[in-house]
Parts: sequence; structure tokens; C-alpha cells
Amino acid sequence: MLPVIQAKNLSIEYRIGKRWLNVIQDVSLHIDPVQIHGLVGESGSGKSTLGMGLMRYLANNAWISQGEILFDTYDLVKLSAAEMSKIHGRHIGFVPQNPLDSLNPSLTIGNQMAEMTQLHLGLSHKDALKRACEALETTNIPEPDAVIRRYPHQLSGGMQQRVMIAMALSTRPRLLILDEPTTALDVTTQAVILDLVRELMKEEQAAALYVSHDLGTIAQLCDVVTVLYSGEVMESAPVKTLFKKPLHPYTIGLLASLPSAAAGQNQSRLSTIAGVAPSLSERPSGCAFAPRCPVAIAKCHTDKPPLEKTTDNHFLRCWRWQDIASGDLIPKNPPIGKREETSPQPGYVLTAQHIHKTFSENSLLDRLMGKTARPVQALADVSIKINQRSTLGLVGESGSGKTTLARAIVGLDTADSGDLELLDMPVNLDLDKRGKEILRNLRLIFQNPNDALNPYRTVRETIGRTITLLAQETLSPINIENRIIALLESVGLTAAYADRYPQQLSGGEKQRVAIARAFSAKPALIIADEPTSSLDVSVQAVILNLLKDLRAENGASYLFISHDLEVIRYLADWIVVMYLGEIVEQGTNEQVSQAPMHPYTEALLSAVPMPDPTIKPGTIRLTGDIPGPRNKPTGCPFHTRCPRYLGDICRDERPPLREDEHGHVIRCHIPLEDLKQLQS
Amino acid sequence: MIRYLVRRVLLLLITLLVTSMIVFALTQFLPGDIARLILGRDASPEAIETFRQEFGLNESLPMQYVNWLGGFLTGNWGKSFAEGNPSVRPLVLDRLGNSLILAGFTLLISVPIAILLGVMAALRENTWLDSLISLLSLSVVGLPEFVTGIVLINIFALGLGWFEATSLIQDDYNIGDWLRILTLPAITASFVLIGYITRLTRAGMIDELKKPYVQTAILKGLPFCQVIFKHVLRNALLPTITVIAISIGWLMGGIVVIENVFNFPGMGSLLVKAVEQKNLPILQAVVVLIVFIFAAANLIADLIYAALNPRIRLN
Amino acid sequence: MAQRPMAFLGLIIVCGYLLVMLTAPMIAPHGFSDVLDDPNNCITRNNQTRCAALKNAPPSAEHLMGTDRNGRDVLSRIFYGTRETIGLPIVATLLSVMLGTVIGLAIGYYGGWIDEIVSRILDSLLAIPALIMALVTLATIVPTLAMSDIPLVQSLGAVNIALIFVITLLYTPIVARVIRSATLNLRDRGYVEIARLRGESTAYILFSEILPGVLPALVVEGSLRFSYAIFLVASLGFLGLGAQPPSPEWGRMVLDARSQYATAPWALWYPVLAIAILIISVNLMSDGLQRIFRHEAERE
Repeated sequence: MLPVIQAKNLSIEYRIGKRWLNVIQDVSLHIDPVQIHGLVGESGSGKSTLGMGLMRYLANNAWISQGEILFDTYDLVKLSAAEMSKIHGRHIGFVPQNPLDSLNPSLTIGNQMAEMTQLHLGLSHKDALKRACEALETTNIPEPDAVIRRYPHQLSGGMQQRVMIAMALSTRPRLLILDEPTTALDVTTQAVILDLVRELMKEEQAAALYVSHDLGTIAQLCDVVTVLYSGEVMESAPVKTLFKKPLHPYTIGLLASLPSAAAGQNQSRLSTIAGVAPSLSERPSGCAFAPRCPVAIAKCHTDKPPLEKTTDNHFLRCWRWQDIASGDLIPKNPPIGKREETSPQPGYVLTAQHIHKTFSENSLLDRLMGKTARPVQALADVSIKINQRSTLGLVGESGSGKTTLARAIVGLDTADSGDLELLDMPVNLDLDKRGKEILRNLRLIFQNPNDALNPYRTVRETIGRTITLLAQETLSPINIENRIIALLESVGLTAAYADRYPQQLSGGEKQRVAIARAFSAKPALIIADEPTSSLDVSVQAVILNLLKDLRAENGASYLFISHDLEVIRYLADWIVVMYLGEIVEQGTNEQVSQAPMHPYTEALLSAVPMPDPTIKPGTIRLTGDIPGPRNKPTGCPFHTRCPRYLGDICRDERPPLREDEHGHVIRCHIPLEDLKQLQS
Repeated sequence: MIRYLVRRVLLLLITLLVTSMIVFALTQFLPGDIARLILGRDASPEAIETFRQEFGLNESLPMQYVNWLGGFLTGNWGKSFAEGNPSVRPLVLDRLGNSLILAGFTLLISVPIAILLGVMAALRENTWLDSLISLLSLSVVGLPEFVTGIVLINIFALGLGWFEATSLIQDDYNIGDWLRILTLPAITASFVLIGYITRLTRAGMIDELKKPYVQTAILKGLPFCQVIFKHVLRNALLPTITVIAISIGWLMGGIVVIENVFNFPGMGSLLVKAVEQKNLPILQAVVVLIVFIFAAANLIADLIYAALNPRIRLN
Repeated sequence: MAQRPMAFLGLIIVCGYLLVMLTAPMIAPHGFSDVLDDPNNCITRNNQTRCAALKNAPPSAEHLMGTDRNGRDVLSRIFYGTRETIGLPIVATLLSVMLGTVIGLAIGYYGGWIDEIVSRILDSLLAIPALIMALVTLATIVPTLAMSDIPLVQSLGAVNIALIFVITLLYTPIVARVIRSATLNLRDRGYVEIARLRGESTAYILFSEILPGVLPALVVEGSLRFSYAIFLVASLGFLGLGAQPPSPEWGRMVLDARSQYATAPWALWYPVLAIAILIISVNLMSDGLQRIFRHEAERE
């Protein structure tokens, strides 16, 4: 059987300034018919460049310096732009990462879909619109004939992505290239889209290249996986082989650093990969992974290993794979470090009672005109308690209000009403009225390390300023300097980092500095808002370990916010699930993962793609989209999407809080006993 | 959309009201007695008192403003301080007509050229063509109008004799005559506009070309022309509408200078004379009219922008 | 900067002009209002030689740019003219940049109704085309200032003070709007919020956390404003409403030389050339700055 597309010794170079840098080095891969080929790698690995490069779509400063791309009877590298445009869209479809920006904002959906089939299949505009409707129908979009008259901004993210998929498939291409198609979506929407892709590819008998950083979606969707590191193929194998018996130290390290891997083995710490990926300009001369490899030998640093075929369809670029395959060598960083587990202590570091917050955006003119937009209710009667020396994990999708809750607690958004207490001190809702003691004990770590540090300040100034302002005792300059260095060392950085500016740090290093800053005044509670979601998995593992260690050392507590249920389950003692500004469920880590659980939690757990192809994906799928904050449903906010919808009562009445004897709380009309039965 | 429209019109009215106050307040800065300033030191107290009565100068300032605004809105623009006290309205409206013809002709020349140059520069970003267009838009066309005007007069009017150096308008002019007087002032006015609009069109187009939907369009296999004309241009030119409206403000200022360079009988030369003679009624009328035209242009631009942009139209 | 030759050239030329401005009295061969003697047209009577003015003399080794209709040395006038043509715009630009920055930072950071009201007033000021606004303001405040006995006005001249006032009035709102939107971009950055969380004062947040981030926008806007201010001062001079005789402001020189164009074209062309080169250089420099900062913003 001939492959649909085949890249042979492909190299792609970028011109940066006056230098040419190899982004893709000597990559060979092929995709067979009706196969979904996963391309996985961390940021900077070149996976997107390779995915786009296979379509001969490159940035202005890039070119294919070597190799060929065989597609049909052509070598795509040799085709002219005009010839390529006969293949783009017709034979190779493309689904991008960000569907909203990838659709033209000023053309209707129908118009954008129709131009494909008009151009490639020669349909009339009318027929093309009909074809567009049919294509939308296959993606389960309700009322396709209304959707084709809409503009992109009138659709939700999930709908936009379905439009992109329907559009790409409307010409029945032989190959579909998907570049992180679900990264911008919520996990429940992602699950629906992945089901759809799986189903449609089978139906259309087309092949696909699925580019992603997410090992979970790769495991659930793909037939074959290629692991890219620093622009080179490290390992390529059928999905079951790769996840069950990976042979490359990089693949092994990557899989071991996932929080779910730790949970599976009851490990309290995550394995990590030492160091950071090399920048393109200073690639090692030997194996690209050698500097970070736990089992590298002298030869690895000097000679580049070839891509070898081990068994059927298992390819490897490693000098030592035979030792690894035989089991003589285990290339894993053992989870080292200070091993001192903490357990929650009685007494609360923070209690928040009945927090309400609404946002209204009415300008002066609107108010003068007497027109007021409906306020957005972001938090409705939210109450949480955080034990001493414990971690409260707050999970929810976008729009759930989890970030607003964090901001209301630290005071960046002033809550409308509610009571806050920190270490038995009352906390004013207004940040400007809080005393130094409160400020010192309540620190925040942001999601995006890039904007958490002032680009015009050195690390020393950034951390030092917090110590000067908030430390309990007045410190001499020498003491401050010592404290800064001790903090940097506690987050795994050296004293030399004190003089650096944020631009000189990697994403993971910036986040470490932000963590050091958060701990600099010895706070009682640290609120971490998705601190790892912008980082690669191997870096995430380091940060998660660090957070665990620092909690043990400093006796602080965390309010840890994440959309990633696996991270929450790895880290938290107590889990709170939010939906549209309300808490729907809370309990201990174990309780929340077991029956009974709220139907939303159940759906959330079911939607998480596990990085293990042998685990069957969950089957509970939420229909419809998360309602916009302005149209929050009445009664139970979840009733519009609930798979266990009871009837009018869910629509009309706010459900009661039901608490079992162990303190596990669920807000649902279905009694706990029934929920237990339903889920077993 | 209706709500948007009402909002924009309300904002326009507020702006005009505040602006008219600013203009009125500024003209009240004049030291001493305006009547004496106009009539001269030797005027008799009776003459001054008559003058003050006639122009309502004895009333309190807020009353004067209300009277002036009321009169302006009802079409009674008052009388000029100048010899014979001619009525302001016909005088100003006559000059306004001439200026509008000049402004219209200028826009007709400059906007298409500027958009063409801007789009070409963006499509050939970082090539010699782009550099050339950038250099031109920063240099030759960035000069003050009196500089370009004088150069053009010396070459094309005094040197080659193709056009008139000064603009006398007569009632029996045909199109050819009009072109002979309008061309040089309009080209002079176009220069600054072309530079400004070209630069911003280029920047807008470059930003637009980087957006992911362009990549989608290319990867759909659409021919280059279709990508540019159907997908990119309509989005890239949306901000240009606003840019053109803003440049009308420039044009108003530029025309004052140009009318003086070419002795063109428009509002600008009237304004300069009114300033020199401290002729407040004419000054106020002309300035408020100019502000109104500028504001109306901005409003129209906003509405066109909203009508062409589904994200505003459908919210 | 070195990688952008045109911008670099612009910078060098602007620096040249600034040098002339600072050293004008030293390098100018004559005073700007000195009427020169025509040596071929002198009469000696009672041991006193009195000469006619050297009017409209063509450029020569002695008078590189010739003389004007009043017999003044054009080169010297151009040298001295830098003080008004460049110096006034510099002062006015600095003033409007400072004022605009403070206003823009404050309304951008506080937001709410303060922002709405101040923004509305700024918009109203901007609704009047710059040159028109300048004409009206000059017409009314120059006589007022001329009558006052403030020492600063006495020493700098009513027209100059009025010009600085007008340009500041015109450009402060523009700078404020640019800084306001840059501030809005930075206000919700993590590091600004972290500063609030450690209890920093508003002044510290505005000037130590936000201001460095808006500096690039400020530099670019400042250089643009400088270019437009030169443009405006010269245009007003040309209209006869700015600098008054015997001022050597270049726009005014062009106006005065126009009537003598047939006999002394050099008196017209040299100031025109001086303005043209200056404005082109400032534009090139400011465009270079814009591209550099844009490039840096993209790399971030």
C-alpha cells in the first residue's frame, strides 16, 4: 500500500538575521491511507513548522533546504505556487489551532465554505451552498442552513472549529492536516471535536496528520505517533507500542512527567527531564537530546545517531535503544528530592463565605441615556474553606468564575458582598483597605509568567521590592540580598539569576522567579492561577514538584486553580468544581473522583483524554455550548447541558446543597443515593 | 445597529457643543474693548456704545454665547465687523462652496493613489518598491503645503505656464478653466494626504496579511488574487475609512495655507483675513462650520465602518 | 539604528541642525537683523561714510546665500532662525509630552467616569483641526499677552509664548490619548497587579511600573509631534500670524521673500530648502524609531 504522503530527508531552514538555522533536520515520515498520524513535541520542537511544511506552507524567511515530499505522483517541493494551490484545499485539507482568527471576520460562513467547492469542484454558488449545508450536517451542527448565513463571531469556539473541519472535508481531500485543533477549546468541547474527527476520518477514508503537544489527545486519536525533538524525529511507532513500550529516553521521560502517570503509580513526585531544550542556534553536535539524557554516554555527545528501524514500524534515533529494549537500562530520572509529605492540619487559613461578584460595563453615556446592559454574574454565593497546610484545587472550564474567585480573594476585583477571613483576621473586600499583614499572607502566582515580571526590572529588584515592603521584620540590605539568594536557590536557580532581566529567562525560569517572589514574604496562603498551563509538560512537572516541596518547607497553603483535572488530582487535598460562577461539587480528592458525583464533574472526568491508548475514552458528552455569562440559565445553571436532566425542576429551581456524612457536598436535584446508583 | 447610530450622533452633538464653547471662549480672550479695537482709538463714545448695542456686547458672556448659538442654529449668523457690515452667512457660504470644490477634488486625487501605493508597498513588503514608497511618503509629500505649493507654482505655473499661479474664479468658468486653477492647489493639498494615508494603509494591510485567516485562504487553494481582493482588502481597508476621515481634518488646515499660497477665494483665506482684522462674527462662523464638516466626516466614516463590519453591525 | 541607514542619516542631520541652533551667535557671520552696507554704493560726507543697504545681493563668497530685500544676510538669518523654527517646537513638544503623559497615565489607569469626562474634553479639543485652532488661539491670546507685563513674556516675546501655548494645547490631547491606550494595555499586566498586591502607592505604580512600558510609544509619539510642530510653526509664520518681523523664522522668511521672488529668488529658496531638509530628516528619524520599536515589540 502506497503512503498518502511521504517526506524523505526533509530539512527546513529559517533565516534569522544573517544566519540560517535548521528548524527541521532530516525528517522522514510517511502517512498511510486511513491513518491518523500524530506529531507530538514540546514548544520549539518544530512540529508546526513540519506540519505546515508538508503542505509547502512556510514563513517568508523559511525554505526547504533538502529532501522531498511525495504526494500522489508529485514531489511537492518542486511544484510552483500555482500548482500547489491546486493541491491545497482540494487534496490536502487544513484545520488550524485558532478557529475564530482563522475565519474571515467579514464573510459569512456559507460564503467561505462555498468558495472551496466552487473553486475545486466547479460547483455553482447555489450548489456550493447546498454542499456546505450537507458538510455542516455531518459535523452535527444544528440548523446548518441558518449557520451558513452567520458570521464567525456569532458562533462559539466549538462551532467554529466544526465549521473549519466541515470546510476542510467538503472537497473530500485525501489528507487532512490538523494543527493543535483543540488547544483553544474547553475539555468538554475538545472531547466532542475529537470524537467527530475520529468518526469523520473513518467515514471519509482519509488520512490525517494530527499535530499536538498533548499526549492525551494523541493517545486517544492517533494510530501512529512521531515524537519530534529539536527538529528531529526521535521515535516513531504505532500508538500502542509508543505508549506501552517507549524506547527513546526522551519519550520515556515525557510520559513519566505527566501527572496522570504519577497518579497511576501512586507516586508523590513527578519524574522530570533535566535542563531545557537547546535553542536552534546552539544545537549539540551529537544527539540533540544528549545534554538532558539520563543515560547518555560519551558517544551520544559526539556522534549523531541514525534513525533506525527496530521492528515493524518502530523507528528510533538513539545509540542505546537495544539496552533499553532489553530492559538492562532504565532511562528515567528517579523522583528525587526532599521527601516530606504534608497533610492538612485542622484550622482554616482562609474562609470565604457567600462571595458574590457581578460585572457591569455601562459607560456614563449609556447611563445618561438610561440604557443599562444586564450585569454579568461572575460569582453567585460561593463559599470555600482552606485548611492549614493544605491545597485546595479549583477546577472548571472557561467562564466558570474560578479566576474571578481568585481575584476577589486577593482583592484585584472587589467582591460585591461576602465575608473573608485569613488566619482568623477579617479581610476587607477592598484591596486598598487591607493592611500589610493581610497583603503579606496572601500572595498570587499568575498563569502567564511572561507578564508577571516587569520586563524593566532585574530578578533581584523584583524579589527585593516585595521583601522590603512586606517582610515582617526590617532587614538590612545584606540580609535582603541573602534572602533573595536563598529564595532563588529554593526554586532551583542560582544566585547568578539575580542580575538577569525577564527577557533572558525561559518560561519555566520566569515562573520559578514568580514563585520565589510569592514566597519571599513568607505568606500563609498562595493563590496559584493556572501556573503551569502555559508551560510544556516536562517543565510543568518541575514546577509542580517545586510547589509541593515549598509547601512542605514553608507550611503554606495553596489555592490552586486549573482547567486540567489531572493536575488538580495530582496536587490537591480538597477539590472544588465550579460551573458558571457556582460551586457544583466539593470534597476530598478521593471523594470527587468517586461516585456519587455531580453530573458535570462526571462529564468533565469523562472528557479528559488519558495518555494511554488502552484506556477507552469516556462516553459522556455534553451537547451544546457553555451558555454565555450574560445568559446564565435559571434554576440549575447546568440544566441546559446536563445528561441527567430531570425535568422542569432543574430549569426552575436552584438545586439544594446535599452533603454526605464525610463532608462531600453536591449541588444537584438528584439525591446522593440516586447519583451513586446512576454512576455505578 | 440603531443603538450604535443613536450613540454616535449623541456623541457628535456633545462634541460639537463643547467645541462651540471652546471656540466662543477663545474668542473672548481678546484684551480690552473689542469695540474700541475695531473702531479705533479715535472713535467717539457714542459710536462705541452703538457698536456695542448692535453686536450685543453689553450682555453677560453666557448670554452672548446663548444668543450666538441660537442665532447660528436658526440661520442668523450675524453681521460682519468689516466696512458696511455685510451679513455673514452669504459671504461665508459662498467661500465655503469654493473650498469644498477644492477639498473634494483633492480627495478624488489623493485617496485612490494613496490606497494603491499603500497596498502595493504592503504586498511587496521589504522590497525596493516598498522602500521607495516609504521614502517618498516620508519625504517629498511630508513637506508643509507652502513649501510644496511654492515649488509647484515655480515649476508648472511660472516656469512651464501650464496652470495659473493665482486663482481667480469667475461665474462663467467651464470645466477646463476650473481644472486650470484647481489642479495645482489640489495637488499641493494631496501631497500631505497621500503620505499620511499611504503609510497607514500600508501598516493596516501588513497587519491584516499576518492574520491566520489569510493562511486559511491560501491553504484552501484560492488563487492569490482572490485571497487579496476577496479576503484581505475588505478587512484591511476598513481602518482606512477612519484614516481618511481624520485626514479631512488635516485637509481643512492645509487648505487655509494653500488658499493663501494661491490666493484662492475660499474659506481659508477668509479666515486668515478675519483673524488679522479681529472680525469675530466671521471667525466664529467659519471655525464652527469647519468643525462641523470635520465632525460630520468622522460620523459618516464611523457609520460606513460599522455598516461594513459585521462585528459591529450585528451587535 | 545603524542598520537603518536612512533613519541614521535623518538623525545625523537633525543633530546638525541642533548644533547650529545652539551655536548660532558664534557661527553666524552677521546678526539676523543687521542691515549690511553696499560697499559700491557709499557716500562719504564730513568724514562719515554712509552706505546704502546691500539689498537683494546674489549669493557670493562673502554672502553664501545672498541678501534679502532689506539687505540682511540670508545665511545668518537662517542660522538664527533655527531658534524659533526648531527651538519653539522642541519646548512645546517637551511640554505636551510631559503633560500628555501625566494625563494619559492617570485616566488610563483610573478609568471609569474620570476617564470618560477627560476623554470627551480631549476629543472636543481634537475636533478642531490643528491649524484652525492655532489661528483662533493666536489671534486672541497674542494681544492679551502683549499687554501683560509678565517677565517671561517680555523676554521671549508674546508670539513665542503664544505659539508654545497653542502647540501644547493642541498636542497634549494627542499624546494623552496615545499614552492612555498604552496604559490601558499595561494596566492589567500581571506585574502591575502584583505591585498593587504588595501595597504600592498609585504614584509608584504609574511612574515606576507602567511608565517604562509606555516609553517606546512616548518616544515615537514625541518625535512625530516634533515634526508636526515644526510644520505648524513654519506654516503659521508663512501665514503671517506666527513670528513677526524682523524675526528670522523660516516660514516668515518665505512669506517676506515671495514678493521679491523675481529679483532675489535665493532669499526664497534657501529657507524653503532649510525647512524641507529639516522636516524630511525628522520624519526619517521618527519612522526609524517606529520601526525599531515595532520590531522589538514583535520579537517579545
